[in-house]
This record gives sequence, structure tokens and C-alpha cells, in this order.
Amino acid sequence: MENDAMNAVHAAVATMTGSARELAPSLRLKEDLGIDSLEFVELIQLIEQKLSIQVNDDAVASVRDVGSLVGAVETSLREARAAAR
Amino acid sequence: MRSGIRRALSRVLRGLGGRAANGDRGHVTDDAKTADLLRARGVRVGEGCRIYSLEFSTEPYLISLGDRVGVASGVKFVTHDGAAHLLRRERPAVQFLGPIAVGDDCFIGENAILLPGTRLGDGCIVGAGAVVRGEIPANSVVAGNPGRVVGRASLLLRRLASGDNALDTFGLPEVERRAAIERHFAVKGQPHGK
Repeated sequence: MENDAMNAVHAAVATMTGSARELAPSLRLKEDLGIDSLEFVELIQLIEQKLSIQVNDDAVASVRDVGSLVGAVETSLREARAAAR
Repeated sequence: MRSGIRRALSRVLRGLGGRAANGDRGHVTDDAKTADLLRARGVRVGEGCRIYSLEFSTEPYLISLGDRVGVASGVKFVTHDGAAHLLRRERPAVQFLGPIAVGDDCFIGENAILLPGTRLGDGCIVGAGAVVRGEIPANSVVAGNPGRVVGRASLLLRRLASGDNALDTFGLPEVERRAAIERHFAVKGQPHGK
């Protein structure tokens, strides 16, 4: 599951930034990757489409780095899979 | 009559610029005047709207705005496709028309264009400069030309509210508001009025 979330985040960031660079968990979305608020919303949409889930807005709204984003997506994915059972 | 309404609305909108951005108490009356002026032209305007554009096309009666809709300056509502002009030799009276409907709690950013037939669901945000057409689902952020849904409006609002540049300055007296903003961004502007 961690890989699913991480892969989805990495693929979405690559799509948004045009670069498939290695993403350290500490990389900041805005300051290091240049992803502003509008692009962040689009990033989440890409992740949701890839994983066929809807991420909780409150859980992701304040994430600032790649590691936190992966964690929030993992949580949403776990909840979605639990609800589906 | 039409030019008189336009002049009156222009005076209202000029006055709105500084006061409304600051949320002065006067904005409540000014917003009501703007809404009434647009209703007089045939636009259906819900309650609590803040409208800073005059561009409601030549068929304003085809436009409806829900409650609490924000319309930034430069926004254009287009209810007819002027390309019909190219068919006038064979069909002299032809017009291509389409209504525009905006749901409740929407915000339309600066210089956006809403084309004939646009329907915005409740709670949508249209990005500055977007060119929007067709049916937009509720709670969508629409951006770009052609406008496309890029995500959820509810998430964008939460993201912006959690950002470092979200300041609680709306409604403060202008001197205090400016001081707080300049402190936050560490800028030193010119003295007020110069």
C-alpha cells in the first residue's frame, strides 16, 4: 500500500513538473518543486484518478512536503480499501 | 435609459474598488445597488452577490447568478456567438444564442470569459483568465483556455486558508490593514496618499 501511494504521488509530481526526478520525503512542494495552490489541487486530482479514491480535503490541505503527502494519501487509500470490504 | 444605467453602475463600481476590497461597511449597500442595476437589465441575481463587472452581454436576461456569487473585474458573460455574422448573407437574421447559469457560492476570477451555454454548479471557482464553456460540476476549480476542471474548489480553499499568506485583514480600517500587510510581506510602501 505504501508503494501504491508513493508511486501515485511520484507519477503525479512527474506529470505536474515535467521531470521524473527522485523525490526525497523532505522535498517541499512549493519551495522545492514549485507547486503552488492551484497546481496542488490538480496534483491531488491526478493522484485520485490514479488510485480511484477521493482524498480527504482536511487531511491533505496543509501538507507541505512529499513525505507528508505520501502519508496522507496512504491513509486515504487504507480508509477507501477498508470501506470497500 | 441604457446609457444612464451604465453611467450609474460605473460610478458604483468605481466607488467599490477601494472600499469593497477592504470590506468597509459601505460595501453591503454598494453590492445591493449593483445587484439592483443588473436586475433592472434582466439579469437574475441571487442574494449576497459581489459583482465587479458590467459585461453581461447583449442578452443579460439569459444570465442567472445564484446566491453569494462573486464576480471579479473584467469578467465577461457572452450569450451569443458573433460568428453568426459570417452567415448573414444567406440567413440575414440568424443568431447563435445560449443562456449562462451560475450556481450558489461561486467565484469567477478576473478577466474570465463564460461562453454561451455555460452552467456552473454550486461552489465552483473559475480561475483568472479562464475561458469556460459547457457544464461544470459543483465544487470544481476551472482554469485555463479552454477551461478544464483541475480539482475541487473545497480543497483549493482549504489549501489557501492554510497558507502563510492567508491574513485576517478583511474589514480592518485601511491604515491598519495596510500596516499589517506590509509587516507580513516586509515591504515598506510609500506613505499613504503619495
